[in-house]
Amino acid sequence: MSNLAGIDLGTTFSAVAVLNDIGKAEIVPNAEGERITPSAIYFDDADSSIIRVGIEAVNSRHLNPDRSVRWIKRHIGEPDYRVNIDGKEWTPRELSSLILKKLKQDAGIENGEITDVVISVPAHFDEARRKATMDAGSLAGLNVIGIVNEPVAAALYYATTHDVSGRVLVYDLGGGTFDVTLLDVKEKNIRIICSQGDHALGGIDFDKKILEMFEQAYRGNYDSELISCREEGAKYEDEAEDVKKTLSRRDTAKKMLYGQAGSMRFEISRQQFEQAVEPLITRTDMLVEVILEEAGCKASDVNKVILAGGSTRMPLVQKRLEQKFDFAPEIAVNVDECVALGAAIQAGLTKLNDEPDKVSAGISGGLKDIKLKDVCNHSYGTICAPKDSQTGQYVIENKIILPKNTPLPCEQSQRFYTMADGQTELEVTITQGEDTDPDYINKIATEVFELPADRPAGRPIKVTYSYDTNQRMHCRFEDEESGNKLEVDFCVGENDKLTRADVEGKAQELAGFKVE
Amino acid sequence: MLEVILILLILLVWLGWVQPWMPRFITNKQDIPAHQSQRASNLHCRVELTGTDDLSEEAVVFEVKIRGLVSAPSDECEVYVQVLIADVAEDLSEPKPVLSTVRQFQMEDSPAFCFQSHIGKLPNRQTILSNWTTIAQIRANFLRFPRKGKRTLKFVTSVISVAQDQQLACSVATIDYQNNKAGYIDAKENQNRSEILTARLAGVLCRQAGRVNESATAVIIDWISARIRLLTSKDEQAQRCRELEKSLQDSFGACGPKKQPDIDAVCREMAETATIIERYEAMELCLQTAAATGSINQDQIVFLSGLANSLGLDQDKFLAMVQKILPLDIYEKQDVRFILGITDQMSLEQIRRKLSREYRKWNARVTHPDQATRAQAGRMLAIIAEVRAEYAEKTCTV
Repeated sequence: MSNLAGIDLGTTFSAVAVLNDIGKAEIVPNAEGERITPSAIYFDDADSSIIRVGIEAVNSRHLNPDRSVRWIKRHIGEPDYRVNIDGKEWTPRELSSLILKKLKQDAGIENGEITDVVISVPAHFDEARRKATMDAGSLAGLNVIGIVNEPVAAALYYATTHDVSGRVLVYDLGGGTFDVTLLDVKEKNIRIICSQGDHALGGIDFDKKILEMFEQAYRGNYDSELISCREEGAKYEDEAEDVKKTLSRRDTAKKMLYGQAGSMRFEISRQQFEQAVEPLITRTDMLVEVILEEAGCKASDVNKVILAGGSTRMPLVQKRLEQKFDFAPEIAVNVDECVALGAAIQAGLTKLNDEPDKVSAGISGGLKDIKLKDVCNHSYGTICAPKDSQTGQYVIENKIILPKNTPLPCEQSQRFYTMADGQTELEVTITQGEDTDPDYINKIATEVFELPADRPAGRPIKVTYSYDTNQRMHCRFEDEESGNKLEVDFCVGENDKLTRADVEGKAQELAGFKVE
Repeated sequence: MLEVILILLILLVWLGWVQPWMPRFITNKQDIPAHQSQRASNLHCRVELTGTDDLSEEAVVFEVKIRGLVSAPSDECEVYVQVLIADVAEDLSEPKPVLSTVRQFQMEDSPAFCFQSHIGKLPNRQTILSNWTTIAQIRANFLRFPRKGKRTLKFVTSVISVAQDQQLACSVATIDYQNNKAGYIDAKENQNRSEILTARLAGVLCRQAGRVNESATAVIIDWISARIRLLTSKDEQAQRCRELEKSLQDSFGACGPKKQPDIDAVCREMAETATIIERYEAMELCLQTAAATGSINQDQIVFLSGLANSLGLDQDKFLAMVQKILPLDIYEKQDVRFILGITDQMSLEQIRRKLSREYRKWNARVTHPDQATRAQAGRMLAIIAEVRAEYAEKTCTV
């Protein structure tokens, strides 16, 4: 086995895969012998320096939910989100690093230490979330050599292990996020066409619907609340998940609900459940439609649908996809594992590209025919003030220069003009997002571009953005008359990344905690 | 001598055609002389209107020509010509300035029209231009008149020495012109009127269940204060404040079904007189006022939708304003069609496309750095999915 690994850092479960000596990806079981590890954290109440990650954390959560953390991926990259445990304010980045640390430790038991890793993220993750994920890896002591989009990883694994060609749609409905990606595959050549994602749609949202049904049924029966404390809340969240999983296998599920007013038997049919989650499934339908529209194709143009993520086990999901595409989706790969496996392949490809001499002949031989052509995950633009066509007024607007889904590598330019006589500087902002309204986009960099004095308004400024296959973006602002230039370089996921000193300091701080 | 005059003529013609488009910033050192014609005996001026047959307003040009005698203090006197225009349609004794929309034809300290062109040296102390010579071609769409309708324009043309900045000759010509655009005085009056109407419309939204909402009224009072601060004179400020506050008070009594025609008339007047910018500003104030009430009922939703239609606002822009200004929990009963911009005229397919667009828009906002925006986006996605599920059923039924 090599030390090249791929990690699927999921909302509810995570998994690690490594490349074997001939470049094939294999899942590495955790210390408990399981192939996937719950992304749950529990801060031991007896010894606060011990942090439990995985199934033990899930089980301990019922006893003390205040000391447990689940679904942290939903909050990664949020600047204000903190979890207070024993007075320490934990950031999502730090909490994610604890999960990664557990995965790293467990993978090292049989395999030897994993060093170079690629971590998967949802395709729709923005700059801040990608950066925070990479930082979490660094804090866990991993050398994060890249980030891969989850559906791309799934497709990479699928295309390299199955005989597939044509237009493929990867439908990745995980524990907390939903991604859909359209790609063209020809043997081992993979060309991504476009991706879309829903950050707030996944298995936990289906669980919530069942939990609501528990509460509603109990209220109807006893006119009393089922859940009166956080412990009970945690317990029934897990019970709801259990019911959902049962309904994927059977037509009905039963549960005993124990509340303060008494106990009751709860029974739910698959049909009732499917009715309750209809609005959530509609969201996935809409996203599929959006992506087909973006790609300018019809459902009939898609040759294969690949499923990834545990929530795709729901029969309703498969039924709806079959209705949409007129054929059954592909469930030949393990939906819980394919992302980690694909991420491991991506780790091999990245290493092969960056440091080919450090990759063994067996691995490089195994990966030699794989070609992946990715696209820009987001639109990048700048803030400008064009005239509104209806009012004639200048309006502050986000203008997209590099549109989302542009094949990589790419370069695009647009010309803008100075607004005022004697304008000597220009505040240039690099934005990420689709909206024209600047209030709704992410400003990822702001710089001041100095201009020559004493010139009338209307001087042309050429703005060029380029983006390479390593997700490095280069922005150039050029005053065409004087030739003055302002150049901004950054790697997506690395801009404003923690410095080595930051990582060492934080890692030292976290070293005091023992992850089990 | 004849050769020199010929060269001068060629120069004048060239300058008349070419120079107006060259940038020039000058200081107005003299007001338009009201009785210039008294001194204009030796120089004659005439103005011809060309391009009127053309359908395009841009083709209409005032062609200014001169001929006659120019007396200079010495031979070889360097001179420039100047053309000023006044509007004397209402009152000959009180000419109103004609403004330029192009900076290079404005006076340095005001937007009043002023054309100046350097024409070189006069050969002699007494120089005669025996033929009508074009000295300027002024495009009508560069000019802004005081009022709409028939205008009487007084063109004052002067020849001025560069060295002494002394007027050597002057002539006046008048011409009638039909101005089809609102004049700047009209615009100011319209603006004042549209402010009064805006306060009146917003005021309607302050009144709920027979009571005037104080927070909403405060929003309008703040808006009035901001408007008044733009005025320089204290008297003007006081008067304007009275007018706007009266309009607001009037609107408090203008609610209820019986008064609806009054509101419809206000909308119609706004649509006719206010600029599109003023109409958007009016809508923005109305939405801010509605937001300040903390609760919106169905009547107010109908009022706002009707207002947007009456004011001729772009539906997408109106929707963006609604979604940005009105929080989702403000609705007494959630009107998803209003929140998502779905109208009765839309077909099921148009609704599907609209929902897809809205879904894409709000889905991108779910990861916004601002927590409030993220929360709003999450709720909007849930609403969109519910509406979509409902319309999907209808599509199946159809």
